[in-house]
Amino acid sequence: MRKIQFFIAWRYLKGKGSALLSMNARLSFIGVFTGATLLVIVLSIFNGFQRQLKMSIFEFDPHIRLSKDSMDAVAIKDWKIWKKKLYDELSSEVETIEGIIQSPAILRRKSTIEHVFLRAIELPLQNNSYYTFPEHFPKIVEPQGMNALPKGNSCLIGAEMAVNLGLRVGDTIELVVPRGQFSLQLGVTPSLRPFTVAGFFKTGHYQYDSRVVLLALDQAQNLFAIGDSVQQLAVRVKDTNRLREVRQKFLVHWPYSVRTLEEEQRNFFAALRLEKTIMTTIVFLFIISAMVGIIVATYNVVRSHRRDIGILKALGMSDTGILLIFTMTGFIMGSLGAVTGILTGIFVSLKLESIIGFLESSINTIGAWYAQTFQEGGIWFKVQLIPRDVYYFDHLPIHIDPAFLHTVAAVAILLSGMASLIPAWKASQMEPVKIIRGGGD
Amino acid sequence: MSVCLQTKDLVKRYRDGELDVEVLRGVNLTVETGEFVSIRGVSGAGKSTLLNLLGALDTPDSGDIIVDGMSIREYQRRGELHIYRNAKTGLIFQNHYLMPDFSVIENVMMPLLIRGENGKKARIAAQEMLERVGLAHRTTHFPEQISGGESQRVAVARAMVHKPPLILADEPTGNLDSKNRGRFIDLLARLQGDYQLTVIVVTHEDDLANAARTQYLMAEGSLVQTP
Ligand SMILES: Nc1ncnc2c1ncn2[C@@H]1O[C@H](COP(=O)(O)OP(=O)(O)O)[C@@H](O)[C@H]1O
Ligand SMILES: [Mg+2]
Repeated sequence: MRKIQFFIAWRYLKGKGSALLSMNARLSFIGVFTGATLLVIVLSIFNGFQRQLKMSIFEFDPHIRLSKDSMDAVAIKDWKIWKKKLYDELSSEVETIEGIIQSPAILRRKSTIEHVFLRAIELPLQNNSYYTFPEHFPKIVEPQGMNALPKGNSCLIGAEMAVNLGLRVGDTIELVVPRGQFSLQLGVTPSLRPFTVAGFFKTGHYQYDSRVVLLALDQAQNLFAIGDSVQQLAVRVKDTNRLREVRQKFLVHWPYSVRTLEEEQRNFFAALRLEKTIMTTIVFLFIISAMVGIIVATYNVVRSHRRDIGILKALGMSDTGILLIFTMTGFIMGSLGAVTGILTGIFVSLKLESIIGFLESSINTIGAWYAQTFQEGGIWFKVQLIPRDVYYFDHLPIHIDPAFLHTVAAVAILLSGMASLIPAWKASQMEPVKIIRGGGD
Repeated sequence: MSVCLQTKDLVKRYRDGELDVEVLRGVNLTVETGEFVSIRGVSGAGKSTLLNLLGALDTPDSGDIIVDGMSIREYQRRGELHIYRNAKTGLIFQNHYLMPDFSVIENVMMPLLIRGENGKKARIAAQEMLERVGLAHRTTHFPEQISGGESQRVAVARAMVHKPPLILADEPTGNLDSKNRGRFIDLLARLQGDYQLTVIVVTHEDDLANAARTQYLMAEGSLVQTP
């Protein structure tokens, strides 16, 4: 019973000629195909951006901060004991615990002053005369290699800060912080020391790359003149999705202030969530439009085969059989469109950078030619489709999520079958006598 | 001889605006297996209405149709009218009603495929039937590529390929020129005789009506046998 319906549905889609697909089939195919292609591309970019943002923040910032008070003003003197104790208690959740100092400071360079954020970390660990950086240390973009940092008073600065302040590797800057404390209480005296810029780093987060100065912890302790104490214990967890649960565990063992990254960067995470909502809406709209496309196309297939429906019924095909034929046309179109669309989408996503580069250069070539030919002394200002300095990416972040694509394919195929149910049901309810008396269409 | 078809007081009305038009006013017809019956009548007499009821394309307002001992109302009650159509009838219309997207042989195979017969067997049966109607050389053509006379012979092949007990033809020669009409009548009469088919043909044309052994006239919504 199924075979005949598939045979007929396929013939309706293929047409009797040598063409690959009939007109109707082509239209609905193109609808689903374009939808799926665009969906994959848009979502790959969206996912890529989100991941990049999230990663840049999770890589550089501590996931959980432990301090003695919420203002981070109290120094932690016995931090090494705490560090060992906490690590032993929570080693199943925790990747690393480090003592850090993080504080605003004043940077002076000749006559320029700038406010910056110091971050002092236990870095680097000397190991066979090489310095090994922690796993999540931001990328050092200059100089190549990692041998620059801790010779004497040296620091790393963000690559954007280097550009903004015109700093080069080897330049000297001065850092000013309060002496003997982490706050500006009454009667504070400043502590000032020169530092050599040992290199530039890049986190992918503009705020950090333009504001943060990285120091080795012992250097910072000297600068603050605070002995061997730290301001915070910085925790990296194994699973960033379990931040809340891990926070509860720390609250049991650390009787002071515990703050997660999500609490500190509330706005950032709220923005990420909003983007996710927008993304979901886009997916939803794509699916709706594909469904409408399938409904219209199936409706057309039904209408142009009205006479066949009458004949098939007169020859003894059941209503269910007719229903099946026209559901299958939608189903086949949906499957073909979804699968080829997703494959094309993946291909385009992977090649997106070169495609955009090609578009840019084509636009600029044509534009320059146009300006020279038609505008008197015309100058063409080069177009950048994705301005690098605005978006702050050195390459387009593309992330293709296979699980998500499977879902898209499954949903598209299922829904295209469901969408065609409406016109297919109408077809199944047509009365053969009317069609046959009417003499066809 | 056994009874193939029996109708009992078939009544069919159409609503025409405010008016109820009673097209069939109690049609009683008994056809024996292997009989060739014609029903003559002027245009609008209700011939197509009767044939559509016999083919279960439409339902009577009252009365009953019994084919091979089973009432059509029984099929309807079970939701199996499509099985009745496929198993009991073979239909031929004035317009050939071939499906344009399918080749000649595929069109002929259709009743068998709908029944669930496998493709190979259906193709063999269809080929044989097409040979019988003299179109063995046209099997892979599409309906638009063959003439009106040929199309109507394909329709005959399609109506008979699954060997239904009842062949119903509604003005089958209505669209044919006189030469093709003659050939068609000869073909129908020959196949009827060869296969011992039960055929009911309705027409307003005398030559076709006269080819049948039993002849009726439809007038005033009922049938009168004419000698
Ligand atoms: N669906 C319908 N609604 C109203 N009147 C109809 C309908 N179908 C047929 N009729 C009327 O029934 C009568 C018989 O029609 P029909 O059976 O086609 O006659 P014939 O085939 O003998 O020419 C005609 O008067 C026709 O107008
Ligand atoms: Mg008629």
